[in-house]
Amino acid sequence: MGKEKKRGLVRAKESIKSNIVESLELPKDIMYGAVIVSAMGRSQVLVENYRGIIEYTKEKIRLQAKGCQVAILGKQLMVEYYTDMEMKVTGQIEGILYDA
Amino acid sequence: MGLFIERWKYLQGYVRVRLSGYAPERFFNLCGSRGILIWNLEYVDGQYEFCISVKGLKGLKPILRKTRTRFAIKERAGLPFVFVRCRKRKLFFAGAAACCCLVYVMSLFVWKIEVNGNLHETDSAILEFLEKENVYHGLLKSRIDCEKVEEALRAEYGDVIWASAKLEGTALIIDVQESLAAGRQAPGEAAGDGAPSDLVAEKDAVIYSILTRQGTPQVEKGMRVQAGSLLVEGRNPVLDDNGEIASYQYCASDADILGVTEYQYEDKFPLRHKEKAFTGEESVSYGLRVFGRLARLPYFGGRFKEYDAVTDERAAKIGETFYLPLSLVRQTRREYETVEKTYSKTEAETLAKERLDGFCEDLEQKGVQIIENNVMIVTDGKNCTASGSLRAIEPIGARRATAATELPQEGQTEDEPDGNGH
Repeated sequence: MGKEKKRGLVRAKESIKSNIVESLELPKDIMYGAVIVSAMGRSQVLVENYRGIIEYTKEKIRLQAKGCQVAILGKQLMVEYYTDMEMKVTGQIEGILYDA
Repeated sequence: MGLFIERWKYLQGYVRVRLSGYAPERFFNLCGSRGILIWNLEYVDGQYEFCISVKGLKGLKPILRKTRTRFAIKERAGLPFVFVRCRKRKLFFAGAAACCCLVYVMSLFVWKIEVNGNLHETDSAILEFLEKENVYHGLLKSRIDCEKVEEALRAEYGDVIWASAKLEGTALIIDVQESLAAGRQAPGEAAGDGAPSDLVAEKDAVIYSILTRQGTPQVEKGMRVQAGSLLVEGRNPVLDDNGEIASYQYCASDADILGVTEYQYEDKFPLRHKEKAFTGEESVSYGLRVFGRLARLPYFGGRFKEYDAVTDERAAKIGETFYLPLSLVRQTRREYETVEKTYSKTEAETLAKERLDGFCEDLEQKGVQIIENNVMIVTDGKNCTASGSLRAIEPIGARRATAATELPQEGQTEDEPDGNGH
């Protein structure tokens, strides 16, 4: 019962937040802290708002983001640069996967 | 932007290192959160290779300990390392230092003077004047007082109503604004010093109109005046009760006086004349001008008997305004032959008419308005003659200092001490 109540409260909080964000047209990436993945062609992916690197090999780069993980699959993957805010990956991209 | 970052990295110096050990991913996360930039990260044979700045490398120690990793430097790149490698080449450093010094020393001088906005005065006239004022090419920039230059320009040229001088790089840029009414009697001149002055006739004329603002007019409309005769006197008589002159008030007279003047026009040219016929042959020679001295490069082109020479000069500069005392001179010679020709009657008359029109235009630019044209163009067997007279209206007043009259002022000077005594 208590657990149910708590979950309902969280849900209500989130819906209030999303209402505010929607109605004030605030930038969503900042308000939700959501990850932004922009892919350019087949050879370049820019990931913003990520939290950290979990795994990095030539074929797979797994990144932690808020609420999910992003995996970039490909061949000859190379990190052109990264900062605490964004990371640019180049190589032959084969897929971008999200897992919870 | 990207290029700028590349340059910055190169200047700062960076290394390519190979990382191995227990928790490389954590190492990268820590670097990210501490703001240590890592780029060109690659996974090679179970180890990580990446580039990092020299500065970042020095802050890696605690992270390495925490993540139990080690690195080995594979490659060094950037300016600091180049310096270290070249440290034994003393002449190279001397040359680089000398180059910097030279650029700095050169930047202390003015290598170009640019004059903008002058319509009536030519650039060269203004430059010549500036040279007299000790402002010339190759002068130390610190020796130039822009305000003095501005003042001198305004003082020298009456029709310059605004002048500005500024130094930009190694160029002195002078902007002037000329009065639009230049060529007419400039009222500004009268107000200039305020010393008593008369207006006298510049040339023989019949007064067309006279409008006096200050002073006593001595002529009327329709009067015939001769060059030098008084038109407006710069003193106003003050009459006493008896109607006699008690004293004079002196002023700088100011008036618009237009007179009808006559110009004699005489133009004669022979029908047979010489003309240049260009053969189309051209040759180019080059030279270098260093510090105002011209050094011609050897010239191998054809030798022409008669030629027109066109010289182009291009000054070397760095950026927009940093002029160096070095310029490339290019001379193009165009060969021609002299051909004798004879004008036909109509050709000659058109030419004479053109020359007359040019003469009239020159006059009109000086503010002279032509009202009557009595020029006849006659062509005989050998010559074409245009002769006659032009009647015109033009301003004829010229300024002259007023001669002070002694007598009336004595009375004034006697009165004044009395007045003070009481």
